[in-house]
Amino acid sequence: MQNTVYGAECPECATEVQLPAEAYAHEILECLECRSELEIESVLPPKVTLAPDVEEDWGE
Amino acid sequence: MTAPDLPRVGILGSRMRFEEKLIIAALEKRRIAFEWLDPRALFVTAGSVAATPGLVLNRELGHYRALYAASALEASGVTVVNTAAASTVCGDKWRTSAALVAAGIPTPTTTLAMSPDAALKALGEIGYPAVIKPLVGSWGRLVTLVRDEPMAAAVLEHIEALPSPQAHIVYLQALVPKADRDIRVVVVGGEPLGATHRTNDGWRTNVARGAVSEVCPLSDEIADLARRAAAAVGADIAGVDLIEDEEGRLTVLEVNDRVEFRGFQGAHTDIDVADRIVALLLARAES
Repeated sequence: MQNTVYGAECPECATEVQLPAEAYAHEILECLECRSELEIESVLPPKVTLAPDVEEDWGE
Repeated sequence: MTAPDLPRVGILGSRMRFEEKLIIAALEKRRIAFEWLDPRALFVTAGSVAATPGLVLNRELGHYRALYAASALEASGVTVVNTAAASTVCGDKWRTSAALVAAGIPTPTTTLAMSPDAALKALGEIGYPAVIKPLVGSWGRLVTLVRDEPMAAAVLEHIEALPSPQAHIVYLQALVPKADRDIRVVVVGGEPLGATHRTNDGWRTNVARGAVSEVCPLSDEIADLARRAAAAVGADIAGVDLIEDEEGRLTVLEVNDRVEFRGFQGAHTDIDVADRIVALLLARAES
């Protein structure tokens, strides 16, 4: 199991979201409480924002 | 500690996916300093000296942002891999088809209709089933298999109603029979690293749609076609998608310029795709 050491507040439901120890900025997480897709804005200090919706031109 | 004689590399991307993490790990392993460039916060003045590293790997998820960021960085003297020119071709299905045909590379019969009405007439000549694809887009989205004329007419009415003028230019392709699996070849620096089969229950075989990747032997023919296809679109790093028809003939479907390789890497544990990409960046920096 991954160590989770940092907590950030979900902007949707205000639940504390745990960032994995090896988290990177710009990774996508899911809030386990409200299921919102979140983007890690920064690891230190831990901050998450709502992830942008998939746009039409995304992909390879 | 960073080795002093190694270049500083920029990674252009708005999302940290599996592939970007591997690339960062490969950069760290070689002690190459890197800077993450989020294009959502990037602006560049043409002719100015860019504040970014002089060598940038383009991993941006959005086609238009990737394309214009590459073009803008190049206008400031930055070397971008892949180039904006390669992304222009790869990001547009018609430009890709035209480049493949011009290079004499087998590819499904493709027709570009300049209006939905013209598309319906063209489909009458192509025959059914056929495939309507958006000019720009990935992961199989909005790719539509039309089985007969009434179905095509309905789909084209929807296309007619779309607001973008570009959407009214309709890309049509004959359906290649036996398309239950396709072949993905990852090409880095002109060298095909390996191939995978991607199998799906549906008729589209994108890994993003849940296709399973398994090792495909890299035959001379597959390697040669993949190498030529990457060169035809000018891509240093390419994911070349091929398909085999009922007679066993190989055709190239498309070339991806910002290749996702999670499925490929899972199948090929003996190939370090990220490290090969980093090696290519180093070679570019030295040249």
